Amino acid sequence: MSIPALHPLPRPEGEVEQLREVWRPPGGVRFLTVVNNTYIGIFYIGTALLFFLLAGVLALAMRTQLAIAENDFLSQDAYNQFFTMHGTIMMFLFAVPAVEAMGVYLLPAMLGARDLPFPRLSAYAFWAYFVGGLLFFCSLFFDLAPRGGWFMYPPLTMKEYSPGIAADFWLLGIGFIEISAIAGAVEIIVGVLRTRAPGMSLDKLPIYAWAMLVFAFLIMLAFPAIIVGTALLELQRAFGWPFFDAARGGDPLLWQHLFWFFGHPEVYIIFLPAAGFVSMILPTMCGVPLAAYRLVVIALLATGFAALGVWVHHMFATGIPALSISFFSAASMAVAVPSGIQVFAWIATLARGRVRITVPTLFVLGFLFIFVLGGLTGVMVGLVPFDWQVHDTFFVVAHFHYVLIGGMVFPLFGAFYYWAPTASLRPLSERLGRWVFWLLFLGFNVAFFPMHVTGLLGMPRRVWTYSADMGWEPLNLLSTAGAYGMGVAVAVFLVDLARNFRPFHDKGGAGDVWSAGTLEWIENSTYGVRSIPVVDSRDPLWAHPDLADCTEAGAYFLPGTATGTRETLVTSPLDGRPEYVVQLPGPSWKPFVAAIATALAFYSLTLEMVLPAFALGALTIAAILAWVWDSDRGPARPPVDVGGGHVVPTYAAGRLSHAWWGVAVLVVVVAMLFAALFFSYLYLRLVSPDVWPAATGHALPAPAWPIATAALLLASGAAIAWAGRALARRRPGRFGWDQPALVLALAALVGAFAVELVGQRSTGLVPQHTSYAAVVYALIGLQGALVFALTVMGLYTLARSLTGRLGPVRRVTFDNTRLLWSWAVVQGLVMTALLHGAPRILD
Amino acid sequence: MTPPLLPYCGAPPAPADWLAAWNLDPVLIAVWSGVGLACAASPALRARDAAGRRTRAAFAAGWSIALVAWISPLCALGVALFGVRVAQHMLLALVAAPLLAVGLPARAPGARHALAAGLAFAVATWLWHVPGPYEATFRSSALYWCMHATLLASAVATWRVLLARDAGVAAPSLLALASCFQMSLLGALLTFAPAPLFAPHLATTAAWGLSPLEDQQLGGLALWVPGCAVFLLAGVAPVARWIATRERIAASTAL
Repeated sequence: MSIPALHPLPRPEGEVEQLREVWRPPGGVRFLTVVNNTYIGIFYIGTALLFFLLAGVLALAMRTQLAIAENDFLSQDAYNQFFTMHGTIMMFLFAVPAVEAMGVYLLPAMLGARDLPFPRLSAYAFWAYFVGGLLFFCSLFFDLAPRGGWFMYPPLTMKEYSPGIAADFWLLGIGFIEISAIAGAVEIIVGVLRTRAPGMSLDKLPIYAWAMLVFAFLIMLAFPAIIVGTALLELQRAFGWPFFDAARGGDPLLWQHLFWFFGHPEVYIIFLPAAGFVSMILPTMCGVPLAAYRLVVIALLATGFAALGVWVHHMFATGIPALSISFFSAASMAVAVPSGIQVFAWIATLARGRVRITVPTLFVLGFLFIFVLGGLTGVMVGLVPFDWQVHDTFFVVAHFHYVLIGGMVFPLFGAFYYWAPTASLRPLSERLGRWVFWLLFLGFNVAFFPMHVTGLLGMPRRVWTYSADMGWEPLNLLSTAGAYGMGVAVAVFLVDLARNFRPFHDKGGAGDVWSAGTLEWIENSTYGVRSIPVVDSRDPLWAHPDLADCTEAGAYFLPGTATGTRETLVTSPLDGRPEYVVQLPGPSWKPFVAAIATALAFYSLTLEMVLPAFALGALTIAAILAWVWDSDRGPARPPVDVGGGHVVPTYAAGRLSHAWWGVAVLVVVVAMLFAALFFSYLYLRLVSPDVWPAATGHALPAPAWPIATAALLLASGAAIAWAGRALARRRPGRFGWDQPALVLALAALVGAFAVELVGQRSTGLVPQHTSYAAVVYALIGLQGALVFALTVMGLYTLARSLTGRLGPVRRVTFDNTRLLWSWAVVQGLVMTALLHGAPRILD
Repeated sequence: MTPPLLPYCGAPPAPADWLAAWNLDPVLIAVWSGVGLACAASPALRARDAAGRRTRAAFAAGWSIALVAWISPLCALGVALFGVRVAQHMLLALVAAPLLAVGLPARAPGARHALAAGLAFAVATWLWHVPGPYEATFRSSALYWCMHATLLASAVATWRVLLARDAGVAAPSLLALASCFQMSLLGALLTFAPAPLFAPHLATTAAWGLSPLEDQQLGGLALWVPGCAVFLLAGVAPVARWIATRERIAASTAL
């Protein structure tokens, strides 16, 4: 039974041509300004693969060094740089960007959207990552690569023990690349929740989209901790603020808490999207829907939830309380339950259907085999006595490669083979694909299985060589042979890509070669699907075999362009009801320039070139302001009929607006940055009460200071609320009180920050002296950064108002600024209460 | 002059006789019975159908568990051990509160209600586990009851959002996540503090074979691990329930 057309067919002449014209990617050198997700997504995946190759070459060099005892292929110093860069690049520049890139590429098609909700933000995130990542890699060629291991523990990474700027490359480079991961998370959360095909209520959401939703939530909640961690360590290295220096009341373990609060969820940030691939590939290859859809959704959510709570199990060997170790050992076992649910759902799907053994199926089966083994060794190292025994040996190296390569790389290769036909006119080769799979599978097991034994024999990780009489040589030689097998597999894959991968064609790709059931298999051009289909089941193409043809004929929503610009349909988060048509921005140099300038600004800072860094920072801000100046265009025209009698507006402000949701995600990110510093303050207070005012006799600012700060913050909050009400009442062309109210709000906000800063400085508090002083100024600094951002946004809003670009209807700019503003007021109040209340209540 | 330690629950019991240390405070029993009777008069608890029976059973269970938490030897044992005191609070906030919330008259809680409830619960949880206010409850019975009243009331308000049938998906799930997060943060701080913080327990834990620091770590872990586990279930349940409802509707329209 087919879904009836929403308007008369055939559609008028020229409609699809207009659609194609509006979405046409720019040619020539302006190709760099492209923002379509189908292009940015593929650039992004390609760049992630490039880093996979680069880090893989480093791994092969290390395996060559370890192949025989007392080898001198790499020096100790080079080996240290190689393992640090290998881990760092694989985690931060390959794994996370690769799964995020797949989301950027796949999600709009799978959800029936024409693009992601913030296309220029994707372009910005991609270029920042591309330039920043390559510059980071180049540090190797100048002997400037970090040597502290991928988790960069202090005290080893403190200035005293890691002099020079190599560690700063890591701290600034990685801290900055997280920003592009967070930009991607904003896209994915808003995209999945707000830009779905009508009728695709949450219970019909493809499992992959669920996985990406949880993935993006984890990035939003966990990445701020590592940003704070890297910022604190950089402040210590550059300016001597002693957060991690025990001699001045700091604590190296604070780094580990911040790092692993991010680092444990990171494992799931990598694994959940890969599990999502598996949950899409298996049903297609078995010809049946995924077993236990609801349980799998619950398992994804539970995994995400639990991932945030068990970071402590990475710290069993650091001397944390014995009682906590038992609790977290048990909690870590519990994390196996949701993963187990997914594994059983996959096995049940395999059992219910008739399995077609294709290359994607092989990769999925390889994943199941390797990941289950990695999960079992995970349960082993979750047991404390065993963990102590194998800690920092090759057993752990084997364990996490089974989890990461099994859990992420195998599904990713499966996904490449599975989804290549949506992007490329020719599918990848089944014949070469089988070679890739078997070489990778055998190579992997030959390389990493022996490492379990090498580790049990006592070989520590991160040593550049070993003596022949340890008896580790045969096993290491075997591992090296396996690693080269994996290298050959990747080379064959590249040959396959070169011979068959032909992206960026107007027609999209080869089409639904696997007879799959989800929307991304409908012909997908630069504009996405021709019309946005109505969805009434989890596998729409299986439920309605003619859905693809009807969609291509333009039978459903928005068959042409309603506003004459790029656009997509915004739907309600739970039910997927059409709410409004959002006009999307097109290609532009501005995000490109902003991205390059951001990357260069961070690396100028690393090289201690302060003036260029500030100039580039200013250029970044200018480019971003210029880029957003074109957005918030107001209603292009009166409400339009998008099909089926749904007449929806072409503009929305307030909570209905997709942009408001984007800012809401940003607020959560800022709140998590603040939470990480809030935790650091109290943690340092508990660890080092002797540097707190009660013990040192250092006077706190008199109560008048915090009272003034709080009063100014409250005044700022009241003024911004007043501005919002005044804006709603303003008549076109007339004076409105919103402008003076905004200026007042800004003055009060800046004033509150200044009072707090001056109040603390008036007591003679110097950040270099104690961890107390350092963390006080770090909190004020975060507030200062937020106040700076709001000053720019406030002045920008004022400029929009003065140029007639803001009014009672066209007010997204104001609403977004106000949302972040409200958070700044709340954060300021909590901070003031903490800085002035905690030393008085706790001592 | 700080007033002397005069805990409401009496002197810390010895390991030999703690099981006999019941708190049969007639005022407490009378007040709590009054609260129970007042709530029992509400229409939700008097309904004669199956839903009414379930609601009554849940409310009665919650009411009894709260009473047991207050009158049983947990009260006295909490004077000796911080870990037990936290466990008593968790029993009230994570077991009694949800059961009581089921029995209260239904009203669809909005986003504002969710925010206010979550905030109140967070403030109550943090305030009463900070050394100063915590110790104050050992010196004044009024503060002791203020603590229990605010903890229980804010927990019930939170659970009303988490368990509401018509609160949608976003409000309960995000509230559960945020509550889990704030309890983890507090629990983590107490677990990793290298020195004991709570003066009333400095001399009372040795009899139970624990150092004051270990006792404090148990309390921190009681906030952290069970708290989060319960909120995890509560956060995932609304999504599962929503999908199940939609599946049922789809199945019934397909027939």
